[in-house]
Amino acid sequence: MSEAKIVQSTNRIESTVLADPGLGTLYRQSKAENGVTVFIPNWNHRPYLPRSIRSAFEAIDRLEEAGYSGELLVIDDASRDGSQKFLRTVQVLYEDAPLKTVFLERNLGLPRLRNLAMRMSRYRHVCMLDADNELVADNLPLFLQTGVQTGAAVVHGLLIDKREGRMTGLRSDNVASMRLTTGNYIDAFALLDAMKVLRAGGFVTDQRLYGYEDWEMILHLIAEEEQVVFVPVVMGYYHLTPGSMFAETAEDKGPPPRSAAPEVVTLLRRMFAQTGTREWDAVRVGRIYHPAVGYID
Amino acid sequence: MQIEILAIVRPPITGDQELASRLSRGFRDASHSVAVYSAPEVCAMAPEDLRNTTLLVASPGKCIEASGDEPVFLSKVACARKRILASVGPVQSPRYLGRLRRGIHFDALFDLGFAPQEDYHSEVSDVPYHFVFNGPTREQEPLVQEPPNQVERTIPWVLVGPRSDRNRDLLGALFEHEIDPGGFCLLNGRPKNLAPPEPMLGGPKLSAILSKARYYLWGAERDVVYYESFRFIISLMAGTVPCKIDPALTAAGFDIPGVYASVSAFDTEVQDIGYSEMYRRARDFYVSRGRLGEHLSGALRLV
Repeated sequence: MSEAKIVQSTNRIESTVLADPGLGTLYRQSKAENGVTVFIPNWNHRPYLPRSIRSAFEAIDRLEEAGYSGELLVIDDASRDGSQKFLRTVQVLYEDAPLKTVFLERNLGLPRLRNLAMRMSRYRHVCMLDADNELVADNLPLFLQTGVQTGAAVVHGLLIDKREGRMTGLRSDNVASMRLTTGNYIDAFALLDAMKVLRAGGFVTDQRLYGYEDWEMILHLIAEEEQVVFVPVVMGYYHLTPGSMFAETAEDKGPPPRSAAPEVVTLLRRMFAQTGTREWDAVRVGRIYHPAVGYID
Repeated sequence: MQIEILAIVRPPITGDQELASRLSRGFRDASHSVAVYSAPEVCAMAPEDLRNTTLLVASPGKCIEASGDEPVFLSKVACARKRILASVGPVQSPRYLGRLRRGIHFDALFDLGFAPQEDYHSEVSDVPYHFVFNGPTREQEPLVQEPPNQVERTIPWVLVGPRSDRNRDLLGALFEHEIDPGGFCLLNGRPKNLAPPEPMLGGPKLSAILSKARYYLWGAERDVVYYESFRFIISLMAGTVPCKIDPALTAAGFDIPGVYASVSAFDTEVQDIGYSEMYRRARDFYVSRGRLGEHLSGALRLV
């Protein structure tokens, strides 16, 4: 079955699951290859939206300067903090901007939101930008070039952790290896090939893996022999704020996502590392690439 | 076996092999006859073949390990007419002291670099110290006046090294000062447990990246005053300007171009004089102090 047919049939299933046939009309079956959809999922992140939206618009400008195109898609997941009002204001103020907003009436949760965004995106490549994070605008064209040139399902770059304006660490700075079966170190803030990710089933919505669906997705794509490519360039800033996903997950589940709860690790190792051998943890499955040089490893 | 008068024991580690091959090229440039042997080959030599040989050892510990027979290796090395420890790296490091304490009585130490460390050396060892300026080899000349393929240099800067707090802070400072954000940054983790070491980027791969870049940046790895001449050379050969951010070096008054107290000072120089002029300064420094071969010959005469 062709890639388009597979995605089309998963779209039909997803529409049924969402119990909102209206959303199905927003899906795009065919996607343009020459641009990026920057996707911001929003759930009560009104104070941070100006920063993430500004960085997304700047990144789209850089894409256009480099001969590509871009759009910003913001889906509000039934926020209660007035985000909708802010987003409507942005839409009015920037009426010529390539901005699309969707306001959901009931909360779907992050994995479903991401799947919805990949189905709706105008472009094949979707940059997952959390509402409280920030893109380094100048570098988005490099990530798109990498995605197009390598055909990778996931292209990730360095993320600079920032707390109160100061750099506190790095993440997503490692090439994918089977060590991912013991803990995730590649954040969802990355460029995804929507067609490939949807064909692989999209992000799981299993409650047992809530908060770790990006980890499951990386392992699933590796298992499906899709390419995960690291570009040694900064993709963005990961702002560590009291209400960020990182802090929230850490608070709710004890250890932070990098050292997930034992039951999550057990479940994912059962799914992707059944033999239990640790010798293969170091086996590299990702690759390093830079458009100016090609593959580096 | 016909033994050459000058012999280098080739260590098994990549970085030290670069030192061995550079020594070999330098001596050949100065018309010395030189051969390179592995540690097991040294073990297989007859003592009488070694009696007229001056032996240069780059990494004694690794050579002993690679020999497979420490007593035999040490006894053969002891047979040589002279034994010289070839060293690259800061004197104030455990590694330096370790090299001197591996059971070999050295007649001299050749320290390849851009700045002598004799004062520090005399505090830790009685082995006669000879500074050897790590100048150009014949095959590196003539070094072009203008950096090649400037239009293709789309990577503004390169930061490659271990995943350390210092490198992380350097990256943070680059972004804090809003230096062009399109830089290449690859920080490798240290080997852990069962995992084999992540391959550090070096050799042809690093050169390929540098050939598309303008500035090669690095900072001090530890609290010692030291300048990494090999990094400078790799950078310059690729047409990239070597730039070290190290306040201790600037305070010590090193006259090597491209040493900055801070990212801000680096940025100021980039804005003021730019890539081409910074490259020319680095090039002029490198070529103006004589070839490596001449310096090696001079040091050898003193042993």
